[in-house]
Amino acid sequence: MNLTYTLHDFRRQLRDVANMFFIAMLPAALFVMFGVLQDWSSESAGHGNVSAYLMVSMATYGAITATTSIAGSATVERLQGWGRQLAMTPMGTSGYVVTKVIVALAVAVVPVAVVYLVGLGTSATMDDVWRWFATGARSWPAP
Amino acid sequence: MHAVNDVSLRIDRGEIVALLGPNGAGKTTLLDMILGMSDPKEGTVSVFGHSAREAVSKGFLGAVQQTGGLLDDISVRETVVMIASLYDQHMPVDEALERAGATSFAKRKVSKCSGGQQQRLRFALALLPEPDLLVLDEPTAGMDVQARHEFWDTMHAEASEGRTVVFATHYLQEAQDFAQRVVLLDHGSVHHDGTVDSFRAASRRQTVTFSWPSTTPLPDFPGVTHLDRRGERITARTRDADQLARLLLTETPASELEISRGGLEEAFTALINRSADS
Repeated sequence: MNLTYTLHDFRRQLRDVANMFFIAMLPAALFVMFGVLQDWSSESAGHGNVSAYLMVSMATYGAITATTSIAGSATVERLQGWGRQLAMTPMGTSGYVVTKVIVALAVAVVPVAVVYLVGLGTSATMDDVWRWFATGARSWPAP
Repeated sequence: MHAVNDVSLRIDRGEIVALLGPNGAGKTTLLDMILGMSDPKEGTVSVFGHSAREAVSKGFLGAVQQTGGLLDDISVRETVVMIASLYDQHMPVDEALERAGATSFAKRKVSKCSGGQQQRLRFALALLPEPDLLVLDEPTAGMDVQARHEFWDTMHAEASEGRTVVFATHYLQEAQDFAQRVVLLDHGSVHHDGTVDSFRAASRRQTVTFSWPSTTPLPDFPGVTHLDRRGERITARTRDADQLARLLLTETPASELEISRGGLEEAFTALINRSADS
């Protein structure tokens, strides 16, 4: 694991506008459409309202899109010969995989954060503050 | 099918070696084995006393590969920073860019760089671990004349610092201008191995063409390595054209004699053609 390499790769992913649109903006937009603007948003659902329920769902959806898309891009990178370039360095295949997993998990934070911020600023409510953090962590693919 | 067969080479420190050969001669396969990308079925590859992979991970080796191998969406400098971060010890990023002649376009995105610029970037990456051995696989493929010229100027500077350089090329001129030693590969084995001068001498065959009466059988001429008969016209290759010409004109019915001197290029072409025929 190498911090500089991982940070650069992370920044690279964030700069990919098209990819980030599907990872973060689309789940946020879907959340607004179905979780904020509808009549059912304020109705109760378990320990929160329907809006909060949909917020968790859309955040999860975004996080999964993020990890899947980065797994795909890792394959493309290797096909393009970047793997050969890396083979000339001390970083082995396992190092590459670990780096990509960390980058994928880091990128997966973005949709969760974006959707939750939108939810917080609009109609999502939960019974306790800790539930926000617990569901947020649960939407993230790592735990 | 063996891409490389029975190749034994010893390259000493500080040597500059050109690997010449037609497409499919096994140049890239041989270089891949030196780089530890593939393993020979039999035999060993040793780089400074280590296995190829060990030598790579210790940074003894730097390689410029033919194509690909770069990420399009980052800048030249970012590419060097990323790769540099993977080495425990490496030359400063800006120095690598400077030495490879890539400083002027360091901020440009890789996808916007010309072929020559991308090759300079690959060269900068190869320089990062300050390798003792540089392996270049057709480093100037796809460059125009000017870019090729500049690239070799940069390489000259690196080689004069005592690095060992092994490069594969199609261009005879590059081998001639830059290498001290030329290894000619053909069908996966070494066809010729020697200094540029010895290569030139070995290939300095002359061609003697003459007319010969079709009814008369051809005798064995001394010093002739290759004889080709097309109707009345005979083509003979020899190292000593004068001797053959003297013999032909004084003691045989040969007439209309022509002597042509083949260069490096001709020897190489002849070799490629022979490979294609067989």
